[in-house]
Amino acid sequence: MEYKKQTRLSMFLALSILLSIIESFFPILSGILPGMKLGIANIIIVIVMFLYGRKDAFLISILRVLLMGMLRSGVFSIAFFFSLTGSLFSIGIMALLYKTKLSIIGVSIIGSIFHSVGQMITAILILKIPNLIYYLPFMVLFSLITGLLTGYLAKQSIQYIQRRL
Amino acid sequence: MNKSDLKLIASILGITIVFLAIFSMIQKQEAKTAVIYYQNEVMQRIDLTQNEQREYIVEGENGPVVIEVNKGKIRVKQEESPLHICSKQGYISKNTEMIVCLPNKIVIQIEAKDIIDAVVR
Repeated sequence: MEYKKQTRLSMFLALSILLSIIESFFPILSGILPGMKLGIANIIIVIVMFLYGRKDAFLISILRVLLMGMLRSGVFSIAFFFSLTGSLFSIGIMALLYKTKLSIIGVSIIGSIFHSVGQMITAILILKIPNLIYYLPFMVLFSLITGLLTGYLAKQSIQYIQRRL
Repeated sequence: MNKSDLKLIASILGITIVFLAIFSMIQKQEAKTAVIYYQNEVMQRIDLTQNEQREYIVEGENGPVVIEVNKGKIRVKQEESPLHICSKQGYISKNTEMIVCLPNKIVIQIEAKDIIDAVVR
């Protein structure tokens, strides 16, 4: 049983890294507002959280950030810190809220929004540009849409996976 | 999607609309000043209420950055950077709008003196 779970979790980790890499090939959205992403890797985090609980989701999330840092941006680069704080904010709020009345989609939306909020706080602190706060409402609206989308996809995938587990 | 999801979405939309309304009120403030920063230090303050066309040259990280002011609007006309993001951005004119040129470590920000200072401090 333990091995089965371990294997599945590592498969999910690999999938989340795959999605992150695929996403980095399409920087179209950051042309609209710098730093914008769909956040499709969050689908995996949400799936793991609802299938295995918050601890495992936290683990997968942090490992994904670390591995992506090693593969792409380089550990301890600015992009890595943005990614890390964003993910910590996102997984933190999702872990707090996933046992409330909110469905998978609601949890995904709030996670996506807090990802943006976390990155915005880091950007303001590191780049020292307090006026960035004026972009926050737009980021939040955009995150609402992407969170809805990824939440819906996560919900569909969970139904599909649960029938086969 | 259940009821509390819809409540969540509604409250998020409500809060963002309130913030957007506040921010757009700040943007409508007159007496605009454009402030040019180099490495977070103020290099120059430009009054945007005067109408004539002017050009300013600021030393950036990769060389001179040419900034043009015209009819209350400001833009980066010419600069040395890999992607030329800030010169492609074009004119900005509203309060709180900004041009960020990371390679040159130059930030141009439009400020309405009173309110922005109050917010920042």
